[in-house]
Amino acid sequence: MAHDAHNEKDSSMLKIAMNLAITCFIAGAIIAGTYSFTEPVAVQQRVKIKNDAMKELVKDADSFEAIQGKSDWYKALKDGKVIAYVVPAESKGYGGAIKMLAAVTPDAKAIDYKVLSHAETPGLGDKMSEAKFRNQFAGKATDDMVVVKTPTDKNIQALTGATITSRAVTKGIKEAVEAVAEYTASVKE
Amino acid sequence: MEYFTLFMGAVIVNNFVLTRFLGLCIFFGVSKSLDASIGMGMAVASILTASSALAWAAYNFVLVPLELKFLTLPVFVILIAGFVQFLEIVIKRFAPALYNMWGIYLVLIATNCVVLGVPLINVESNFTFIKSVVNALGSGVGFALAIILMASLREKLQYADVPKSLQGLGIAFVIAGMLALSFLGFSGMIPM
Amino acid sequence: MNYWAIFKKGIFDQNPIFRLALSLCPALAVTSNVFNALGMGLAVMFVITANNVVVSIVRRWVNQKVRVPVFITIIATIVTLTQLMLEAFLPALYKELGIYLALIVVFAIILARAEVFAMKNGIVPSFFDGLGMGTGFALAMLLVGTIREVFGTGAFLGFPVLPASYNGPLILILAPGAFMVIGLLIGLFNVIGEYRSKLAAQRGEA
Repeated sequence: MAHDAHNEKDSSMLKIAMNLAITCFIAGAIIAGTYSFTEPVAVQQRVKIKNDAMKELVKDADSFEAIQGKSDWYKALKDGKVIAYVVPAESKGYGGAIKMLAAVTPDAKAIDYKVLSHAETPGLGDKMSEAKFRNQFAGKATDDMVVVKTPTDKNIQALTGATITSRAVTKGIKEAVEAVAEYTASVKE
Repeated sequence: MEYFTLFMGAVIVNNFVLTRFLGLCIFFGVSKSLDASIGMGMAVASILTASSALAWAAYNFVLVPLELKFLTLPVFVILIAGFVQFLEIVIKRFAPALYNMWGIYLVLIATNCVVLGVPLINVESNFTFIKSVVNALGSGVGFALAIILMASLREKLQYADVPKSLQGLGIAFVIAGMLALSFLGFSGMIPM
Repeated sequence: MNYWAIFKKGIFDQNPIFRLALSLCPALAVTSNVFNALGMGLAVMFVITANNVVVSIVRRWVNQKVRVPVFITIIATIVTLTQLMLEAFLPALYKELGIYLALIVVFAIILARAEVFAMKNGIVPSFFDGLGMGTGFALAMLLVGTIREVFGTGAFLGFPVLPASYNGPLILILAPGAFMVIGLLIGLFNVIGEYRSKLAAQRGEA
């Protein structure tokens, strides 16, 4: 009697294990199949998004070329001439890291930037992505990238209620411009 | 110091319940009584820490080397649910007194979004093992803090004259909103 | 059973968010604008319907003792497929929903429908049950998202609908606003529910 009960338990344990194993196996197979199909598309999409972002920053460029030895640095080419560099910029904002893509001219002036990810306050800090604030950077050299709270033509006017964010963005772009200046100097030598 | 800021950030600034909205089912379900909330808070904090450590190991020692990153989600879900189930059996067997106190919460925790969400965030942020554990512990303590505060508020609320349609869950949400408002004051204090 | 009745109950009487108060996390987290709210709503609708169908197909072969782990595995698979698809074809939405997309796995409502309905019913009723619940969920998300975006920023799907002079209360887009909007909506649904049952009672007497 006890023996029978034991046997029955064994077989039901086996059944349960089989049930789970089959489920996991089928699930894994389905996911793996879909992954092999969607992953190339996702990679293409990521490249396309990146190219679109760069195209948006440097509208005149006809092509972008990765720079050897610098990860995620690109030069924007027009008729074979370098008209801008597109480089990643990062800074600590109010709510966390702000990741940006900055476009810089070869003579070390900012052109524009695009915010890739951030954790700033919605409605205040996230206005950093708006053209009104962004356009202040166009054509500025690092010396003029100073955040002030009053209307200005020479410097950067802070966003209302988001001074920390404004300073963080300015710092990130300034560092990117400096890095490009350093790089162009080293290439010329 | 780095770990301390990470910990405090997870407890207060990025409190999972009040700023990232994870674990709300338990948060609203259990916060009716203060005693239950204390037990639940402690249970979540300890399970969260343990399961984050486990998930980190599974991710970095199995999924990454085998290039099976796309299976992260199902593996984490099954791993954590299995771990909690296992814990339930062990505690029932060896510490019945503890089981009587905590047992009912364990079932609720097995498929809870905090317990799954924090390990996922850890691997997404490429945290080291220690950072993952610190972040998980901080998130767990933050959850406990939020649910205990909420329970004390709701216990007081029993004597208040709440409009009939808002009684129960409705007013609980409005109160949670006010709690979240006060936690908003911490934002920006510790940049991650 | 009447399919329309199965479909309809998820929309109001058993609305997952306002009546059953299940799966609340995304209702708060991704409803600060209409686009994300609707995207999340549709993703959940797809997962819950697909899961109901799959569960009702395989229910005969699933051992009673392990049905919960099996259901969880099925749900995790469907969610992962949704993630992969969105990443490939709608990367913008994928990025916005972030971790909350993965967390669909642990939505109580999905497991609950599998347990309560799909386990005991055929494929077609299960399909309509999932579709109804999913629609109720998506509509609730849309409602919360619309209130928060329109009154918080004066825009709908990013297009301004209120005059530019409208300076919306920021709190609606922030975390506290999410809690309060849902709290008040739950109250509103209770009022409507009560009114409807009163009407039904009166009709019954007459």
